Amino acid sequence: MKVKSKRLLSMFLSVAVITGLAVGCGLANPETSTEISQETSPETSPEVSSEIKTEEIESTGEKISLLLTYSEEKKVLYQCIEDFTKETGIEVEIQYMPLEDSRKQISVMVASGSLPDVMDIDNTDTQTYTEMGILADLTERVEAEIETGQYYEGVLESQKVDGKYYGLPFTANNLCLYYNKDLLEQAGAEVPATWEELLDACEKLKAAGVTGFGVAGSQTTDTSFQMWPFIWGAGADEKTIDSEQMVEMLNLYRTMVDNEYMSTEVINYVSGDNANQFTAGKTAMIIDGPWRMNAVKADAEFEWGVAQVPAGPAGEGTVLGGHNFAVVENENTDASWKFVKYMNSPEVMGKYSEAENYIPSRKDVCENLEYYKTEPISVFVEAMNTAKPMPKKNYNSVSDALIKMWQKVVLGESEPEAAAKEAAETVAALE
Amino acid sequence: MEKRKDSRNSIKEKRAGYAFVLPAILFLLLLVLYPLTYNITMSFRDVTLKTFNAEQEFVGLKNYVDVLAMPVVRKAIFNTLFFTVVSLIFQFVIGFALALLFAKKYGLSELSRGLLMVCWLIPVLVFATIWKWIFAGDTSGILNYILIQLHVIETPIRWLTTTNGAMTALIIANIWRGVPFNMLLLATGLTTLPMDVFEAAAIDGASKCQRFFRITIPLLKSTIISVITLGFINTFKVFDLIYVMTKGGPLDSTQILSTVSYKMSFSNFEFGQGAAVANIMLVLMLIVGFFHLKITDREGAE
Repeated sequence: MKVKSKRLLSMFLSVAVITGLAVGCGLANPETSTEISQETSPETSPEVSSEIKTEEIESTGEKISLLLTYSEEKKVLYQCIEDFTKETGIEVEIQYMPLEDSRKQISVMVASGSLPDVMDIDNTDTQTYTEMGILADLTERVEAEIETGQYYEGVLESQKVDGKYYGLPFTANNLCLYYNKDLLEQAGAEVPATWEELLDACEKLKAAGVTGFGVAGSQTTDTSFQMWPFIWGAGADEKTIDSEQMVEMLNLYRTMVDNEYMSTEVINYVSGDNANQFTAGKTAMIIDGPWRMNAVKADAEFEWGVAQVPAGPAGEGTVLGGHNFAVVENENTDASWKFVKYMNSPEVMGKYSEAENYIPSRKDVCENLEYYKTEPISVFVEAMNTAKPMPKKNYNSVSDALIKMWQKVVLGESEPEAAAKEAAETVAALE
Repeated sequence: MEKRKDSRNSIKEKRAGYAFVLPAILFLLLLVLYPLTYNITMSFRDVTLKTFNAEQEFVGLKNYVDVLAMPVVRKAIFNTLFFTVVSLIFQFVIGFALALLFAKKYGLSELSRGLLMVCWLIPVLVFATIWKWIFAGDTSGILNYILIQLHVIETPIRWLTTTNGAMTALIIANIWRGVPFNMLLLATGLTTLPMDVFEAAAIDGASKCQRFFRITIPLLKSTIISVITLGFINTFKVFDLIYVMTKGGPLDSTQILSTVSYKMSFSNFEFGQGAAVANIMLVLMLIVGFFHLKITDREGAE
């Protein structure tokens, strides 16, 4: 009996260890799955925690910690942060982790009470962290100290929750159409400006034996990000999912798939996979952001260009992406504010944006730098005028519903009307 | 006198024993029991985005009732079991066959056995990415290319982009990964079998089949049970393979409990529900654990 109970105990413990490592430690021991996204992320290096010390200026003893989703490869950005310390004497302790990890780690940090002072977050997450009650309301400071008139409206909008500011812009971007000039020329097609022209160009490309169009289509937020320009282009939004306009958007993709303008392989593509098809010359047109320019420049063995996302029946427009600086509510908020304000000063913003192909959030910075007037980045700058932020409320759940709606249509498992109706019900149930 | 010394020694030994297991116990308490308890208590509370950093209401079994009502969770339970059982059957059969093959000493048996181990040593992330390329659904996928060249199929199979294809592809990749593990343990088991029994059976005129089913399998029983239990646990908690190859898609067709739990907690911020799903996994694994215990206990009694 004793042996049996001992064995029972040991068995329980061993099962517990294994399960614990597999799932139970999700919160307390996040390392288990951290490895995955770290290694899949292209800008990966092991977690870096570096302290920038100043020699020129007496340290004021003030110190803030910063969670950054960009690695030390972004030298100019790290240099700007170092400059901040030189100028103000406030030390910045940088904790680097890729975006996917940071999303998970922030939850863990909230639970363990070890949040950094400033966090670089995706703009769709602003609402999430505000609802968690961890972010400082910056409204008064922003209104008193920031020239809001100089910023693109969409970028400022993406900082707000219920009309209050919970962050300042960091990097901004949007989506445009990358096209393979050589392939379009060979097929005798024009760069499309509308949905009709897009389908027309695809038809000509198909006749020339080329896949015309590609987007990200896997169950990740890449997919919904690339859907917004088309959802808005049709005249629909997250509140009118069950509408004729949404059905029209879905029909566009239905046509793409039925006519083999777009490969169904996109169902398993994240935006990087899709871009690889483009640089390999297999897909003639893709939707992507300015961050892809360097990779395309390096790998594409053909002439290429960037144009606005083809306009739908409701007109031209694209989606705004980017990262914000969110300030955590704590005793360091004053120093944190100094930092995010410094990073938003025109010179500094221009410096790190130009180095990494981000679009500056301030119009005057774009206007004053020659680089932003040259193609192809100028196309993205122009798109900033129509770029809208994504809805923030329950973003990941809404995005999930939209992706499934889209996948059902692309896979031919549902008619567009039925898929839209189902997605609308799912989103309505979130309220 | 003798006796007293003995008992003193045994007390000393006992103390030393406790000292030796202390690090292990501390490890368990700190890194396993604490998060496990945390996870269990969390599953009984309303832990969401808004309550995460505030008072969390006790809601009893609500999270469990809610998640079990979700189609995606039910599907994930089915998928997890289906994925595990099918993978296990093939891993075991193929692994056993290879173990028997390599038990025969021939020129390249050592080398091929060693080579086979390589696929077990490759990090999941790497082989999952490779399999993703192999299964590419257009003609650029190696598997489709080969099948078309061999005239087995005419048009490429959309492995990863259809709901059935994706699950099949994942299972194949997982079988490939599990075979070496099964082979290794079974091959080790085979080397411990007493040869004289086989010789005696051969002299008595037992056929090869009879020797295999009447001698090899019964003698290997405890190894077989261990292999299957370990294989079950390994397969059941798979996460990275799916995360890399399909991300649970298309249309949730390859969501299993671990990916659903991850998504609920870290993408939808329904921490309470995510914890509930993780605990459902725990319960399912405990059930298997108890079966294992029962069988090994009966073995011991025999």
